[in-house]
Amino acid sequence: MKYKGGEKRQCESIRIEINGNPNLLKVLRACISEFGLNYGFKSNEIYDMNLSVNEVCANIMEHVYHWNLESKITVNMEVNDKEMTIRIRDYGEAKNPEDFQSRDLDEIEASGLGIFLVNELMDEISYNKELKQGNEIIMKKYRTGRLEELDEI
Amino acid sequence: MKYNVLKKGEIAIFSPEGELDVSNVPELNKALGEILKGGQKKIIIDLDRVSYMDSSALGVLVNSLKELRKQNGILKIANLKGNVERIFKLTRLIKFFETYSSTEQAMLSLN
Repeated sequence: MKYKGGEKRQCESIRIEINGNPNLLKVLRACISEFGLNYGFKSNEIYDMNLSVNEVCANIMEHVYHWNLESKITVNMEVNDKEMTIRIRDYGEAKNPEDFQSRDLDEIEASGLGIFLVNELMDEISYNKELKQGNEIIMKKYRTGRLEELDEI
Repeated sequence: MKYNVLKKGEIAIFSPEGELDVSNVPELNKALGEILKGGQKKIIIDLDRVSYMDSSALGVLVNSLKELRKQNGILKIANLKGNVERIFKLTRLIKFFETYSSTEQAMLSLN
């Protein structure tokens, strides 16, 4: 597996911790973009990951932390030759994922689009149900680009 | 959030810029609310310089559309493109909004 710079690696990861300030979402998206670009993801794949992480974190800020800035969200990203795995962890009240369902798109409503988008844009979604406190969602985005193209960078 | 409002009679062209997410929803709401309060009932939202929209920003546009419809007003979207257009299609919001390839085309449709 060759990445930008030509170095052979099996797997790389990055961990970002933010508080519940929505102004930090833009910074988080910039980090995801850099990480994704560096490891050969296409721009539309990066957009999908950015929007999905944004939607999950915004949901946590609103529904778990109720906009309390004294809070913590951890985003862990791990890339290999097949996919990007993104884990988003909060430390608030445990939520039932089934409480957050997407809605009927035939109705014109302002809410309920975030979960729908995450389900549509990511290839796999699961939840860590073994936590004693907080919540963790695990999302995967498959790589569709050819790694060999990066040899030319 | 940077934005520009151009008023031509009863038409207002609202042009936000950059990335629209939950952090600038209050500003987005305020800006559109002021246009509505100002009596403009025909609004064109120009997304030419918008590179990113999350669901909360989409929600503001939906609420504005619903509010305008209540007042017998019209809301149109111009320059929907790229990934922002893809999200409008994915969420099927595209069928609720009238979209145009330019602000000029949107203006022509109102005259």
